[in-house]
Amino acid sequence: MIIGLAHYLVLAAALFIIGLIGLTIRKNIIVLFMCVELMLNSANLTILAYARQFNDSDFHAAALFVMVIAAAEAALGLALVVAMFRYRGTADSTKLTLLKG
Amino acid sequence: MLISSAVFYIFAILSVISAILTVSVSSPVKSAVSMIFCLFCLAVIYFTLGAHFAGIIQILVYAGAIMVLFLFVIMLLEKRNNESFDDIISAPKIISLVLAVILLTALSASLAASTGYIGIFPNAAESFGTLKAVGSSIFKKYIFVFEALSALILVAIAGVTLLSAKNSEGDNK
Amino acid sequence: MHQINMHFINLIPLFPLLGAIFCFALRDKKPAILCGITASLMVFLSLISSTASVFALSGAASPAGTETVIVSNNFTWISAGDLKIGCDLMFDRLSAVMLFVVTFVGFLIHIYSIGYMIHDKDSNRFFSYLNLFVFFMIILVTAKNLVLMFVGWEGVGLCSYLLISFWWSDPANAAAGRKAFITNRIGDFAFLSAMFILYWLYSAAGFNSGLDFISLSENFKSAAANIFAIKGAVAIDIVCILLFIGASGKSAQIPLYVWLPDAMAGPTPVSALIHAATMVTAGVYMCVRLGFLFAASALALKIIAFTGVLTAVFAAVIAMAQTDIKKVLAYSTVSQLGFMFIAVGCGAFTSAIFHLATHAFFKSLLFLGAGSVIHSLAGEQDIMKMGGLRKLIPGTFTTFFIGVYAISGLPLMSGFFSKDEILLYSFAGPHSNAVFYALAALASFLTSLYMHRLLFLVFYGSFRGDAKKYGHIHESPAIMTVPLYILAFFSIFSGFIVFFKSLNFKTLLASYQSAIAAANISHSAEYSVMGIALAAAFAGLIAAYKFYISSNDYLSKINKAFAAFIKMQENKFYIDELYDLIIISPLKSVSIFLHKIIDVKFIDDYIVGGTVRGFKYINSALSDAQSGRVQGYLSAMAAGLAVMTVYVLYNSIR
Repeated sequence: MIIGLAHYLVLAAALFIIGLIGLTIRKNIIVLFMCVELMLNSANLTILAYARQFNDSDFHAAALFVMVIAAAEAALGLALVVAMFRYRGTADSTKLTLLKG
Repeated sequence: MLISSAVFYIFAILSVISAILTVSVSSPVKSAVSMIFCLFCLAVIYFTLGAHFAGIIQILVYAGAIMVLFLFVIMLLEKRNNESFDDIISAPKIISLVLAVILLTALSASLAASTGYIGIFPNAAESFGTLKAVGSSIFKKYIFVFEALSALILVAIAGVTLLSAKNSEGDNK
Repeated sequence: MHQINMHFINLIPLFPLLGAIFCFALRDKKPAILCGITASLMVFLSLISSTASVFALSGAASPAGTETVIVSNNFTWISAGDLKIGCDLMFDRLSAVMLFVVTFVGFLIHIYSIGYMIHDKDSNRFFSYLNLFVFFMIILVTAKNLVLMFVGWEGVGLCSYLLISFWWSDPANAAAGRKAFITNRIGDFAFLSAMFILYWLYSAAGFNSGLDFISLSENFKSAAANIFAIKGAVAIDIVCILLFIGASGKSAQIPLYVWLPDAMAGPTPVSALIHAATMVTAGVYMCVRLGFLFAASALALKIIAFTGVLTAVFAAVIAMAQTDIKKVLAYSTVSQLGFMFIAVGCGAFTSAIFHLATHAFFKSLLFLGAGSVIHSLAGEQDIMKMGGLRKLIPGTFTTFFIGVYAISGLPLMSGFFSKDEILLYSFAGPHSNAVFYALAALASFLTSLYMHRLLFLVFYGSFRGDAKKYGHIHESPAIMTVPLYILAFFSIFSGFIVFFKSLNFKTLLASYQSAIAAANISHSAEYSVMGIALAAAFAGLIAAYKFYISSNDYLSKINKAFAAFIKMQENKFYIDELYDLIIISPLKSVSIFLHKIIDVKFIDDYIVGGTVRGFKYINSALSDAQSGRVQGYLSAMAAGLAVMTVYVLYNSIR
């Protein structure tokens, strides 16, 4: 079967959904971050598929920018996790409920 | 044709399996390792798309730097205490599975029902995916975005440094 | 009828009303004698005004063939569409008779009460209520329309309640007052229904009567034809039966008589005024006032006569076994009211009014005498503890004797003439019946029997009571005995007006006598009836003498032979207990059920409480949704995303 745009989109959707489900299920914050990264990757895949479809290198550049942003965000997020772990003693997302009420 | 399809399918399935493993295994280290594998598979898929540069960068940056950072932090946290972080919240489990199935079915069904997208890609330009094309795109058209992103990385570094600095009073309130 | 407008007659009810207000304003103050004198003066002024109105009425020129009525059309009270009801008073011959009885007897009783109640700390309130009662009674007998009469009807019921439970700190008295009011109310419900139906019938026949007596009676003939044509003859029957139920509530007939013996819990002047002379006669007055209606309904008249005779006999039987002096007199009142209704049922309305008037005199005499006895014995009411008081309280004894003589129908006193007329009409009148006559004669015999029993047990023989009290027995003060003498005078001589052609009730109230009953009766029938009546009265006297005075053991033999029956007699044939079982207990359990199950559990707990609990549940559910856990929020977002995605994609596919 000739691989077309649809296949890539379905794959991206599946990865996105897996990441979303993982985000709701896991308690460990670092695993939560990994799920976010997974979702970002699926978005990236979508952009690249469309880039191939429209045959435009600008989209390709966009995918790279996404990667850069993902890197920055991952770094900052992990720093936050470390700080929170220092001050709260736990990396359990069900125990961090300051937003309650 | 056949080989490229086979490659695509194999690595697609592998990436999905490793993604599921990421989400469901109990130990965070195992989770990170399977995540790395997933990113590798995705990189291969990028290659099948013809986006060579993106694939290489994926391996170098994503799988090579970001996931290593994740592993460092996992080990940093796990060293501090021996809590098990590994329970999966039971309540949303079933709902999530149901939602997942629904979403996936919906998206796939919509894709299957739509015409005009299933089909081969148009012929790629020669320079699609080459470093030259991407570089010229970044440094000519999107130079401003590039500079802004540099600033973003600077801010990120500064923030990380600030956040992780030890307080003089000590830790753990 | 020829109507003359004189606002002067408004004064008649006005005086007692002012007295009531004045006395009530002074209710906790001394001196008590001021209120007593004021109250009696007000009733006396009312009496003067009624007498003046009588002169005005008799002096008024009337066109030939019609009767003259003085009316006073005051302000309009209800004005609703076609219905206009005013606070109009009227003064005609029937009102004159009733007013004389009410105000005169009321005046004497007020004088008596000054002596009886003066040591009571609440006597000002007593006089206020007494005056209020006279006011309402006057409104009742002078009202020009049924609605205003109903106001007076309810008002006397209210005053009766207030006065029966006058010493309300004793719960038994309060319960008696409540019983009277509630039993009256049942009758009032029937009365109201009758009023509504009557108004409806007249409107259907095309007459806008406004329930005014004059227009009701004038238009009755033409209205009746229409009513019979449209609604059938049974319509008038229903109205009359409902009216009679209302009357039997007020005038203590079967089955609504049960309040009257309990009403003896009130002070004795109250029993004399309300439950002997005036309030209980309101039912009879109403039947006579609406006589044209009753005369058109043979069924209702039969029912009235039947109930009357049954009540007369039944109450007399119970009275024979009672030991409380006031209860004997109470049952006697019920029995005599039965006589009045026999008269009404046989179509002899004027005889009913005549007996009403004479009964007012001798019954209130008997009650006041009983009050005097109780006063001299310092509160003793059980006749088994009395005896031999004849020499000790001679004034009371003489008047009491006259009262007993009159009520028994012994010759030439007032009771003889009035009872004789009733027996005559029940024997030989157009609506008469041999069974009614026989039972009425039996009741007459029993009346004589129990009244003489009372007389002999209280005043003859030897004193059977507490020896300590014997020394303190003294005659009542003059202020209490003078009314007794006056009432005794009237008990003796009021019967003689049958010999005066102009004052004889038959001619005086001829317009109320139904045309049929005015027919002449043969002399032989009259004399034979008179003879049998006398025989019954004397038989009762002799029987009582044999049982209670002469020394033999007839009484103990009868007591032994009929022991079970006598026990039932003493306990009033357990009628109160029967009512309690059949009516009150089911009502109570229904009420408790409604309260506990439906009100408390169902409505309060289930519906109202349930709503509260439901809202609390929603509240807690919603507030739990803000748990602060990001993953919860995320799940919700994911769910929303799923729904939206499915919806959009579904639409776009279609």
